[in-house]
Amino acid sequence: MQIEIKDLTYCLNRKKILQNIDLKIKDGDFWLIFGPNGAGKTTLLKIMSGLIHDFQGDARVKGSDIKKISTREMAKVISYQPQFEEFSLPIRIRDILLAGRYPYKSFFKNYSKEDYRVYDEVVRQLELEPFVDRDINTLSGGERKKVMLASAFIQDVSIILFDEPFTFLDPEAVSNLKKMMVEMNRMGKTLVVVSHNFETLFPLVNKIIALKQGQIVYSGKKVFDKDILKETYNTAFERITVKEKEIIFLDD
Amino acid sequence: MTKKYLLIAVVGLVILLLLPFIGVIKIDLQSLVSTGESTDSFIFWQLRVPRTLLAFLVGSTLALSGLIFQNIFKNSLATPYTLGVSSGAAAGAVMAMKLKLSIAFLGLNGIYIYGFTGALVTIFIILAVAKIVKSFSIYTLLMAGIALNFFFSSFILLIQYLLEFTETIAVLRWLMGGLSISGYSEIIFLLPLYLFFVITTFLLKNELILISGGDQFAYSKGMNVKTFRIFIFIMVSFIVGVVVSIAGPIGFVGLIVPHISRLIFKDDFRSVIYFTIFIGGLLLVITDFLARILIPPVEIPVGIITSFLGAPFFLFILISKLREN
Repeated sequence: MQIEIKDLTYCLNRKKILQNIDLKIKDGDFWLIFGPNGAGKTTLLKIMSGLIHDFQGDARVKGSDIKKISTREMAKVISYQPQFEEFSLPIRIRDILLAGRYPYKSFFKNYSKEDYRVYDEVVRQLELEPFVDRDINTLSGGERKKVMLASAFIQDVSIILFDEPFTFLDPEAVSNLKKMMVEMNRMGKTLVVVSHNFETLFPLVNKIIALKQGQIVYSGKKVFDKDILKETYNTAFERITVKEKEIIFLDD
Repeated sequence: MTKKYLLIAVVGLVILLLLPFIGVIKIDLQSLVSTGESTDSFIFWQLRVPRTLLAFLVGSTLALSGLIFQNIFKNSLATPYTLGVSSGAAAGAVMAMKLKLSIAFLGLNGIYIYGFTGALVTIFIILAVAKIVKSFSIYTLLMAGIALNFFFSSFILLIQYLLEFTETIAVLRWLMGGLSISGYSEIIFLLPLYLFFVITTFLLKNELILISGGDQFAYSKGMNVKTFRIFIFIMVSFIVGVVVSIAGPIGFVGLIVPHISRLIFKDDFRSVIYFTIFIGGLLLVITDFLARILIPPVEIPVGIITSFLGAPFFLFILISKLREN
């Protein structure tokens, strides 16, 4: 079991953002959390990544209580990929990638030979050599996502959480990122993706959560159920198959 | 790259070694090496050399504090001076002067403790404001900084008003920023703190890089962001508090130097640190030299020169930042 959430409720300024959430994320799962804006998707993801602690209920990562686990231990297990990277000062990509080894490094010490070995391996695998000496702010949205994912790889986590990964990406970058996700999942990583445009992701995943106004409409094995979609989005969706590909579209 | 380093280091060192020899009073080189007391040797060894050393330490400290603040707040306009931390330290120091608090506590001069407290209180007010509005945007930070700057300025004026006439002059002169010391007592006190500050910054360079990528990024890499920030704020408040207590609130060094360093070395953060430390010191040594010789025999307060140069520079960065967006 990777992540287990029992009867979780989270309020912000007396408003219930999430209510009675139960969830079990197993090894190798590929989850899509979808729902309209304001459904609480990002909040749920932030709770899983340990960024929010003041919730009621129980949330565990690999059996340990999320509220008690140390930041460093958490970073060895989970990588949270936010929607926006807030890099405003120049930062070298090499430093961002090496930061993936930060949880394994002892305080005040420099990165070790082993750290550099892991770094070199991932840089070679993902063909990032041309980028490492550049400033992250000079990259395009898609390249940036790739670097951040590479950093998670170097971090050697087993769970990767994505918040709206396709925003601001051009079609080519979307396609590349989708391929990377499928590949990572095939390699055994557990993925959880939050997105409101579920048409793009639905064909890739194997588990889904439909979230509306902080409550779960449906969670479990992937099914294309028009009633669930209708209830979640208040809009009708339709599905067809073209060239053995699932196409989902708005039926308006 | 190494050539660039070497050139900067050599030119810098030559300037550092040369400037103490130049001034309104010509120094007879013969008297410096000969044994026995002479006015020239006193001016050189007891006034100019310690003054140059102090200028270097103060400039270097202010520049490095500026760089650290920029990384922690992820913005090149956020420095101890622009956020009002220096004013807070000054207000604390002036209060100590008024209350005649020269009582030593744990071997520390009372003024230093008040300067440190003033700086720390300012930082925590800014953090409280940012927390209430849930935004660490530069707008929030600078606005809070402006408000605090106004408040502390009035506070300092009030205390000045209550002081004896002669004390008022002394405090006024100190507020303009000055590095004229005689002897080495301030340096003996400041040097170990400075070395601690510089070495700690180097040891924490990875954390400073991580935090400049945002709290969420640093956290997701396993860094304990809260503890780190509190440690940095206490350390910077302390050193800025001490420096301001000694030399007055000298502005803009912490803004100009890190900015230039980043323009030259961009994303190479290690080189940015080296450069900031060295050029910060060098810049204030040169500025202080100008303060000594520009309109002899009058000495211009060094803080006035840095502000004259720094304020337009601040506007320049602000304009280029706003045009970017």
